[in-house]
Amino acid sequence: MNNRTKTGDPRILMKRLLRLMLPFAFIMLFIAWIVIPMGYSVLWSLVDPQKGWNYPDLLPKGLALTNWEYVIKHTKIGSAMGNSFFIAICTTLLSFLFAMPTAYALGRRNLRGKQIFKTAILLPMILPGMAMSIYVGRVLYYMGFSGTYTGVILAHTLIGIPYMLRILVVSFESMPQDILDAASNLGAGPWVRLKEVYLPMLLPSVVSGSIFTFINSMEEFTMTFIIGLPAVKTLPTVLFTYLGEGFSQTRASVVSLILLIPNLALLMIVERCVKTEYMGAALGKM
Amino acid sequence: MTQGLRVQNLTKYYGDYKALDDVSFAIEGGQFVTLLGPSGCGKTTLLRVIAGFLECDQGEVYFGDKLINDVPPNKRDAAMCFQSYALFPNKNVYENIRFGLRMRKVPPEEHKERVEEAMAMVNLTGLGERRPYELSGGQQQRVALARCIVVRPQLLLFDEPLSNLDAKLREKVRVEIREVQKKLGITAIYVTHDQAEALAISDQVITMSAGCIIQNAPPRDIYDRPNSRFVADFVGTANIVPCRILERTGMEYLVQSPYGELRAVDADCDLPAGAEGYLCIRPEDLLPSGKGESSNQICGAVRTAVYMGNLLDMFVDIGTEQIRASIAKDWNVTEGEAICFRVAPDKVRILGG
Ligand SMILES: Nc1ncnc2c1ncn2[C@@H]1O[C@H](COP(=O)(O)OP(=O)(O)OP(=O)(O)O)[C@@H](O)[C@H]1O
Ligand SMILES: [Mg+2]
Repeated sequence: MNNRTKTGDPRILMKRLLRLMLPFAFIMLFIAWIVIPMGYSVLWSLVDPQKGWNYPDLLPKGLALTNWEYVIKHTKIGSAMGNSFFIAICTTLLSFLFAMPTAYALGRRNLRGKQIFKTAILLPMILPGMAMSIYVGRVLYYMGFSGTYTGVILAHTLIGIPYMLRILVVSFESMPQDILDAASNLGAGPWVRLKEVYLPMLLPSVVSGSIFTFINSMEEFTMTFIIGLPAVKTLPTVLFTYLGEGFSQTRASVVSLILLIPNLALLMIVERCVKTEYMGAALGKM
Repeated sequence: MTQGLRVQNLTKYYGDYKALDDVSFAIEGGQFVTLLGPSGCGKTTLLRVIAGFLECDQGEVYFGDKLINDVPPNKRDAAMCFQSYALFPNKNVYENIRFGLRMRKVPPEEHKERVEEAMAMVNLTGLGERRPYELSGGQQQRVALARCIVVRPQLLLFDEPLSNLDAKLREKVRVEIREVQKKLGITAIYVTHDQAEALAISDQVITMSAGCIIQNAPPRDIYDRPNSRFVADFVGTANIVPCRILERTGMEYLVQSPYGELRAVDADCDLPAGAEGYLCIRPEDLLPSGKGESSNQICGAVRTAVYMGNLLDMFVDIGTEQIRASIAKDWNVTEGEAICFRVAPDKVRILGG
């Protein structure tokens, strides 16, 4: 009864309206923030240089692939993309190999000064990229890694580790001790525990850590520029140096879209491959 | 018959908190022992020490005659059913249960049969393909149970394995656990909050409080001859009031209590005449009788009487105190009515502190 009399209440109506409006507003915001710039980027990259796209027009007068052809032809983008992928994969693997044991120690062992170490490990994330690059560049130069793939991969790894580590530490910390105990109770040694208990439960975190590290490496410019050039050329260095020669809005759009491709592809593959639902369920139902 | 278990002077601290305090007991091979005690008294901690997940600060754990303090958990032949279930979230029910068989190198051709047998025992047949998150709480609990039983170890540790099941299923599974345990002669420790379950299932009941063992005895003794107020109160219901011993000859006592002067026969009591203690009477040991018809009577006025189906449960005012009595269901009493009970002297127990 009470409910029925209240439906006419303006405050209730207001609440309902808000409940409908809020998600709508967020979707609009998202569109404004991501989709519109992307759309314009695509349009800009397709502008026909003969016709141009000038102020009062909402859309370009004509579309053409001229800019794409130009960029692809003049920048050896294929081999740069190969390099980028190679470096990013190595970086991700290396970060993972380093982060795994460290995260285990930080997440599951009671170490003294753990908190300090956890903060210290995040430093590369906060330091200005340029400062880091110059310093790391120096060190690698003295070690003889300047201009080599090894040098670039090491530098990228240094940047990637904090992301990987942070995510893995949290994931190690939140793993229920009972499940690990159950495994050893049933007779599992350290190797089986790692393979059949730790890894599957860490998988979602490993995946998201890897995505971060991978994308970071794909897009890293300063480090690669300072350490890798002239021998090592990746997508960002090739494209950005090329941009410096004579900036044009249309070609810049092509460049930014090309940089987007591998990341989008990666995200899609990962979405397909990894099911993370059981994690939450396992931790939530006790 | 499998080996027994013996723990000696176990002490375990969590930081400054003493979770186990000088715990010692021995279990013969093939015995079924229940740990009974209020929440937080250290039952899980004790099981974890026995299973090897926790190192104790002092004391020894022996399987048979072998000291196993330094044996890692995966080398101890004990399987535990966890209070939190601890199922592997990424494995389905079948693989969860099979895990122990694989780890213990049981020949693969036996796996299917043994897993299915265990699943049938806990009513899980047909759910083998499900992942733990696709099961209800009670079903998850049964997987945990099947997972430890299937390996048939020397020692089974159950940490409240049936707490989430409905009464019917609980009883069925309880009986089956007991049958399997007997058939294979496995030594078992079983933690429960449910004292009826503890009495029904075990060869021996260990009552704990605040990290200490209070009494370790067969079910009948725990119920009929509790050694302390705590045990009398915790196991079943009991009327417990302070009393003073007026006379003592051998094991016969005359005590003064709020229930009046009563005679008691108690072989376990060692309080001298004049000492203060507690008097304990079980509600079902009070038998209605006409006033003055027999000796050792307690008289009062009915405060409330509740018909429970199988019996009549009532509270009776005796002066400022109350006494609880469970009498045959055919009695008819009205509230406020005067009533007398007689109690056999050997059903009156006198306890120290
Ligand atoms: N890791 C821990 N750190 C500190 N204190 C703990 C820890 N684990 C348990 N305790 C404490 O030790 C005591 C015993 O805990 P335990 O889990 O053994 O109780 P329990 O008898 O199993 O209780 P329940 O019946 O509720 O399961 C409790 O007071 C608990 O708060
Ligand atoms: Mg417990």
